[in-house]
Amino acid sequence: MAAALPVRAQVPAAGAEVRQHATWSPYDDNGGTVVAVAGDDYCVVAASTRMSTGYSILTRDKTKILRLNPKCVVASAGMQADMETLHKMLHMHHVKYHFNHRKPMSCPATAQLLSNTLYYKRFFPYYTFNLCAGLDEEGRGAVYTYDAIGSYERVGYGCQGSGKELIQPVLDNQLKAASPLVLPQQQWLSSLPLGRPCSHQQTSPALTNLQQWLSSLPLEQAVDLVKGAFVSAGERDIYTGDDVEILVITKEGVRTDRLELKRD
Amino acid sequence: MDEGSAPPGAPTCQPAKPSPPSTTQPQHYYCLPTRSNRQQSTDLKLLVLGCGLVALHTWLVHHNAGAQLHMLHMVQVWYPYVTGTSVLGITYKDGVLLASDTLGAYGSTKRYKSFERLRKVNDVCVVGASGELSDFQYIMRLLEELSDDDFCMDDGHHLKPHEVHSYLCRVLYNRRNKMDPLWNSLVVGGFYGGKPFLGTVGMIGTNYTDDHVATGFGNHLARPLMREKHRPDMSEEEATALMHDCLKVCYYRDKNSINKFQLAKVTAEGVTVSEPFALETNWNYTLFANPAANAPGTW
Repeated sequence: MAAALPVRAQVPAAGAEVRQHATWSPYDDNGGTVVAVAGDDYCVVAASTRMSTGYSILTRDKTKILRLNPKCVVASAGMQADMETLHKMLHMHHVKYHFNHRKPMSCPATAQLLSNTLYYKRFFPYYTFNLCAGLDEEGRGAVYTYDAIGSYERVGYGCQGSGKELIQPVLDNQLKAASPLVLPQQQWLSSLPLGRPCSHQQTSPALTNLQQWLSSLPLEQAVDLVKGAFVSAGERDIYTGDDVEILVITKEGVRTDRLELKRD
Repeated sequence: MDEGSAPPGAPTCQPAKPSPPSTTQPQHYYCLPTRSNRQQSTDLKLLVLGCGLVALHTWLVHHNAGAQLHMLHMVQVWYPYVTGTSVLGITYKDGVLLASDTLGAYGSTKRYKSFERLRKVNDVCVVGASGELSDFQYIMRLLEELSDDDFCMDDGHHLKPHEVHSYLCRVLYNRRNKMDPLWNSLVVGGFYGGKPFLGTVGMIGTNYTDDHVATGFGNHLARPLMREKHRPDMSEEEATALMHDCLKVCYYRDKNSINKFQLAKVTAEGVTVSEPFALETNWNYTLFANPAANAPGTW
C-alpha cells in the first residue's frame, strides 16, 4: 500500500498550474532610466545607476552609459547582461572602425550601427532600450531613440527605461513638442539642422523653423531640467534611484556630473 | 580622443609580414602557435564526429526513425537537482572574504553535507557557487583548464580576478543564449594590484561588482546587514565578525542551509579556504518561540 505522502506541494491553487520545478526565463528587467537632451551645440546625457531585479536592488552603482568617443555615447536600460553584450559589440566595432578609418565613428554612423546591431538579433532580441547621443558632423546636439529591435529616429530629446512614462511627458511639455496629432503641426525642438536634412531622412514640416528653439534652451537649463526629471522619477519609480550620471557633451569634450537621488 | 589617433588598445605596428606562399595553414596573427595546433586537432575531432553523425543519420533514416532524429535537434532543458544556497562576499581593508555553508541539497533533502562550494582558482582568486552543484563542478573544470594552461606557459602570468569574473560572465551568458543555462549564481573574490575585487554573475549572465555581494536568499537576508555595517576600510576581525553575523541570519531563516560553514580569504599573501566550522546559535529568542506574539490574529 502506498504510504501517505505529503501532497501539499502538489495541490494546485485555484485556477493555477502545479509548479513542478524551478523555471527560468532568458530575460530579466534590471530597470533604470536614461535621458538625453540635444541643444544647438551640446548634448546632455543622463542615466540612473541603480540595478535591480524584481523588488531587490542588486547594486547602487552600475553605469548604463557606453562612452565610445568624445562626440558619441550610447545609454541603455533594460536587461544588464544584454546591455553589456551590446556595449561590447559596439565598442569592438568602434575600435575596428578606428583601425580602418583612422578617426572615431561619427554619431549618425554609430546610430545606424546600433540599429543594425539590434536588428541583427531580431528573433532573439537584446532586451535593451537605447539612446544614442552626442554631436553630429556639424557639431549640433544629436539624440537617436530606439526600440529593442532597431527601429530608430533622430529626435531633439529622448527618454528610455523604467522611468520613461514619468519623464517623457514632462520633457514633451517643457521642450514644447506638440503632439503630432495636433493640426496644423507645431514646431518641435529638434537638433536637425535647418534646411540641411539628414542624408537618409526627410525633413517633415514639423521639423522646420526650429533654429530659434535650439538656441532658446541654454545648457544650464537643459541640465536642470534633466536633474529635475530624475528627482521626480526617483520619487515614484522604484527602479530609478541611488545616483544619476550626467554627461555634458560639447565640442570641448565630455564633462561628467553626478546627482544623488534617494536610496530607498 | 583626437581625430586620426589610434584607437585604445591598438597595436603600434602592423602585424608581421604575410605568410610565405609555401605555408598551407592559415596564419593566425594574434594567436599563439600552441593554440593553432590545438585548433587543428579540434578540427580533426570535429571531422571524426561529423563522420559519426553522418553514419548515425544513415542508420536512423534506414530504420525509419525520423522521430529520434528530430530529438537530436531538440534543446535539452535541465532543471537543478543538487543545489547550494547563498554565497556571501565582502571586501575589507586588505582583501576579500567569501563565505557559504557546505550543503548540497537534493530538493529539500540535506543530501551532501560537506560539499565545498568555495574553490580556489589561483593565488589571487576564489570562486563561490550557489545553484546546481554539478554545473559548478563543470565550471571549475573550465577554470582549471585555464589555470593549467597558465601553469604550462610558465611565464608567471595568471588570470586576474576581474578576468575570471569576465570569463564566467561570458560563459553563463553564452549558455543562456543557447537556452541551456548553467544553473548557478557565482561570486568571484580576488585581490590583485593592491585592490580587492568582488563580483557576481547570475544564470542568465546578469553581473555586477560591488563592495559586498550575496546570491539568492543572501541578497534578501544578509545584504541589509552588509549595507548597514560594511566599510571598505574594515579590519579583518571586523569583517569576519560581520560575515559571521550574516551567516547566522542566513542560517536562522534559510531552510536549505546548515550550520557548517567555510570562509575563504584572499589577501596579498594569497588564498586560504578555512576548514568547515559551526557558529553558536540561540533559538530561545522570544519571537522564535512565539512568532505571533506581536501579530494578533495570526498563528
